[in-house]
Amino acid sequence: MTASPLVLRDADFGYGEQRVVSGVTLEVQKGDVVAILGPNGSGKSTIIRGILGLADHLGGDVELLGTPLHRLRSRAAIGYVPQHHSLSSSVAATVREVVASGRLARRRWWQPETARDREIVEQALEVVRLSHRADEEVSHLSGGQQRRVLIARALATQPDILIMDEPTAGVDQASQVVLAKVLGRLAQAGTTMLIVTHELDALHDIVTRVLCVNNGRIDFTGSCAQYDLHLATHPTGSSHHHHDEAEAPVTTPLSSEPLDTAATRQS
Amino acid sequence: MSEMLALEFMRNALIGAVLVGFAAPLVGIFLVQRRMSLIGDGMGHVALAGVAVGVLTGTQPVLTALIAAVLAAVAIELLRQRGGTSGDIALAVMFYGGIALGVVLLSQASGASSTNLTGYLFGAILTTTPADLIAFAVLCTIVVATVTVLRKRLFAVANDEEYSRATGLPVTALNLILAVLTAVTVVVSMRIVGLLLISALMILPNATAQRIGSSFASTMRWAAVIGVVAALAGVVTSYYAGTPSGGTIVLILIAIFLVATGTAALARRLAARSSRRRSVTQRALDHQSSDLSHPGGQGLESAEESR
Ligand SMILES: Nc1ncnc2c1ncn2[C@@H]1O[C@H](COP(=O)(O)OP(=O)(O)O)[C@@H](O)[C@H]1O
Ligand SMILES: [Mg+2]
Repeated sequence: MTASPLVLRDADFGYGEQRVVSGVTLEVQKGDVVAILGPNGSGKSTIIRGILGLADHLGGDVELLGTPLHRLRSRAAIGYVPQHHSLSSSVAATVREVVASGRLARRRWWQPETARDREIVEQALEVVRLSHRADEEVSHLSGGQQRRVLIARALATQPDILIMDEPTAGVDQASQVVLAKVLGRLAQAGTTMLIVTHELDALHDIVTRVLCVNNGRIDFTGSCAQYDLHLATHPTGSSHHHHDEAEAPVTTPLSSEPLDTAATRQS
Repeated sequence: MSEMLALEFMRNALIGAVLVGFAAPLVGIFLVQRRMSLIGDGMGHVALAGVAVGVLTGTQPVLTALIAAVLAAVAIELLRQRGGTSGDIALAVMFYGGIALGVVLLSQASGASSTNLTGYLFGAILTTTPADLIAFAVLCTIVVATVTVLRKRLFAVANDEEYSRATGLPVTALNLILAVLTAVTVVVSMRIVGLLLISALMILPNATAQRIGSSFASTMRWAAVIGVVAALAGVVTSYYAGTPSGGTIVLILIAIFLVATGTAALARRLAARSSRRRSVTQRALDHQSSDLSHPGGQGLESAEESR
């Protein structure tokens, strides 16, 4: 495909009548890794959700994977890691089952799971280092581990464009380094990425473009180096970030005893 | 037993019980997953209006009930998607309107309308005719086949609707399909457990299976097994004890649920005790070895030894 994976021209996004972000212009090339920065409530998620069709596209042009947004039929080539995981926990679902749902959009409704599908799911689990917990219930994992499950689910899609909303919020430092490496490998393999983050440092080496959102407006677009300069001249403003979510992952007592739980369940 | 099987109406009842006991939990699991456990009851209320129309007009009540329940299912799904409290009120109006209309219309039907009403409300499995049975078999086959083919998609949508939408799964269509499957299950279960107990057969096997299964797939399998066992046991018990089939099936489901819950709690307590012992051993081991690649492995073995 020669077309840019994502083009925004003076695009506005919001909810219903309410315009939350306006005038977003951005052309993402294949293999670009775009970091979206900005304080809480500035509209980062709204931009991403607008591109994904979850928030309303209220003006301007958006082309996703070479097709205008309103005419986009297949979203199967999109990987998405939502900011707030909304996984239902009322019925047990294992890590593997959730990650495997990332493959569904890639096959027709009547096609059963293939060996290739299963292989891709195992690889995605491997990448986020959750293979050894694949058969555990998702709800028994810590907050950070659950985010890794969501990342694996998006990876299992083998997306042409990977859109992540604060994928590392609440993920411990060690896992963040691992994830940065993973994203680095994906970038090398040419995966186009859009990452909302507050941790630019960890991704500094792979980010090719930075987009700063402030109060529903884009107040900076440029390369990482240009962004560093921008920071030097604007010591506050959009560089002043906070985490949206608490750092501390919640750990249920069960999650520290995986083998034990598995043993009692089988008996 | 053979004496019971010699009776045609008992054979019909047992076949009907197997069909419904198998199909209802397979649909119910997605309702549980979406925290919509009681939606089947609402559809049952509306189905009664359909039954009444069928009785009054001399049409097959199963058919008119099916039409009413499917219409209600679609309306419920559309209201749910719009969200908000006005939708909630609209559901209440629809459900109570359905049952009230059903009761009023049935009272106008000539003949044995009161036994009719009781039969539909609480189940009348022993009156299952061969024609009913064929209709149930066809409907149950459709339900089971649809769930089998679409189960991963239904799971994904119930598990994370927004993600499913963002990555291009036909969320609205899948939700409508689930709503219609629920409606069909309600109508098929109507003769067996009755409209007032319909949700029980869809939900209780899943409540039990949740205590046993450790994955969605295994929970689903267990729920189907429990549904069939309880439905069969209920029909047999009701034959020998002379009790109504619907209530008997539901009481058996609750008994199974309580036993499973008690056993699971006991197992957890035993597990907690052995893990307390284990963590002591583990701490001792950690001094010697810093290999943490399998944190639980060593501990479990040593707990085994210390028994
Ligand atoms: N579903 C919604 N409906 C209406 N307004 C919303 C919705 N979600 C977010 N907003 C508003 O949009 C603004 C930007 O939110 P968001 O894009 O989530 O910010 P960020 O991701 O940068 O923290 C906020 O003022 C928020 O109140
Ligand atoms: Mg956000």
